[in-house]
Amino acid sequence: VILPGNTSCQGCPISLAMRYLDEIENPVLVMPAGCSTVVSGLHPNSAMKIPVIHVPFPSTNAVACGLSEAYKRLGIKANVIAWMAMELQT
Amino acid sequence: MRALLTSNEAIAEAVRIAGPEVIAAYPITPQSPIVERLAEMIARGEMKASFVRVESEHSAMAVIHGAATAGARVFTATSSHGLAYMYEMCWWIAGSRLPTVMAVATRSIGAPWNIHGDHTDIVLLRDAGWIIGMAENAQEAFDMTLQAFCVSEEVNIPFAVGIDAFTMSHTAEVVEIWNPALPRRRQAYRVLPTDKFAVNAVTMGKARMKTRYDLAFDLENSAKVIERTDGEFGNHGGLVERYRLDDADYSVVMMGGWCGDAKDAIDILREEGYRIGLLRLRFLRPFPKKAVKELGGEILVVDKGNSDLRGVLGIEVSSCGVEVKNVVAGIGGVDVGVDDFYKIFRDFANGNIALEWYL
Repeated sequence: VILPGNTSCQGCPISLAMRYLDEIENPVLVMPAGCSTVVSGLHPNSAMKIPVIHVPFPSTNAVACGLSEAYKRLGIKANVIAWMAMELQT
Repeated sequence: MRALLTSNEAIAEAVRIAGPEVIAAYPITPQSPIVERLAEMIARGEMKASFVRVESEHSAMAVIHGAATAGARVFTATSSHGLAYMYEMCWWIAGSRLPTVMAVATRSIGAPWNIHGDHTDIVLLRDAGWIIGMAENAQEAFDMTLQAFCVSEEVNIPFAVGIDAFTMSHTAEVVEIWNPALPRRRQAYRVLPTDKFAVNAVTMGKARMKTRYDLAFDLENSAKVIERTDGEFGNHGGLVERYRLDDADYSVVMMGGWCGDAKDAIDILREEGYRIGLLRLRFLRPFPKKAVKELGGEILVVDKGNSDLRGVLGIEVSSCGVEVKNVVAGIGGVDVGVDDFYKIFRDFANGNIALEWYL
């Protein structure tokens, strides 16, 4: 789900971790602020082949919860993923 | 159907009729009875919303943000510290252009602790890009809440419905409950698992400024939608209510529940020969610039929320290019009744008011 040519640094484990999102059906990705925000693409581009919702850091889990509750109520099959936030420094 | 309801209960009834799919809220005085009543309605099967119990107001607004992104009709309610705590997400939901309705039972923000009413909390939303309404009584709270869903979902801007703490939130009045058929939920976009785009990615250059301009422009233009739909939702006058203003030499500008007392004071002064009237602002955003500019004669603004020594409405009205006298009163729930308004207005008409605090 992560496209080549993304903005991750050489050897960055975030893009490796993002590959595992391939395993998830009907994914909707909620993205907190951090290196992952940049790796997943700067406006107007997206480096992901799945929907990404960028959110403020402390709201990640709650936004994911709201999406999940709404999809259930609206009868839409979705797996909402609250991405982990991490900062990696070289 | 007519019922005896507090403004809190009237809002809950309106929300039941609007039928949101997702409600998230955290309790805070004096708002709590709104969401308590909604929780009871859900438990009794009178409405089908999912009620998400959260650990904070920040998460309440975040849950609403997520649910609206998925395409659900949403509602929350808060007051005071709760609004301050969710402030970050208020910007995000507005910037994301997600239709949202929130009730704000306006209450003072500490320190020091105070649970009583003023407008220092709801004026916080001024710069965030929300439509901000302020009702005067329980009927208007009911009607405005229904209108809020309709307007918010047409213009893609969140809508806050303000009511005053206790004098409205906990005071029962006769309310006509009617059942309008609201349009189905609509919004500019929603995100589905089949989509392949990103929302709110990092912007550079002018992209952020462009969204900020668009929001400000659309917020300004939401006035037309508010005015157009006013007749369907109680005919309260649109952005403003004009009370005895037509031949007025003296105009008072205020908002909220205490306008009822101000009207009584104006009636007394009219009997004494003072040509005085009231412009009641029903909306703080979009700001009713046109109605303010049309005011004749001397203008007094009475505020329940301040920025510096000046009241917030005083600053707003001044920005329309009119000279104003400004009184700040009622902060932290200090009772200001008909007698007080009579005295303030009479002093104003006699030229004895400048910028002052009614302490």
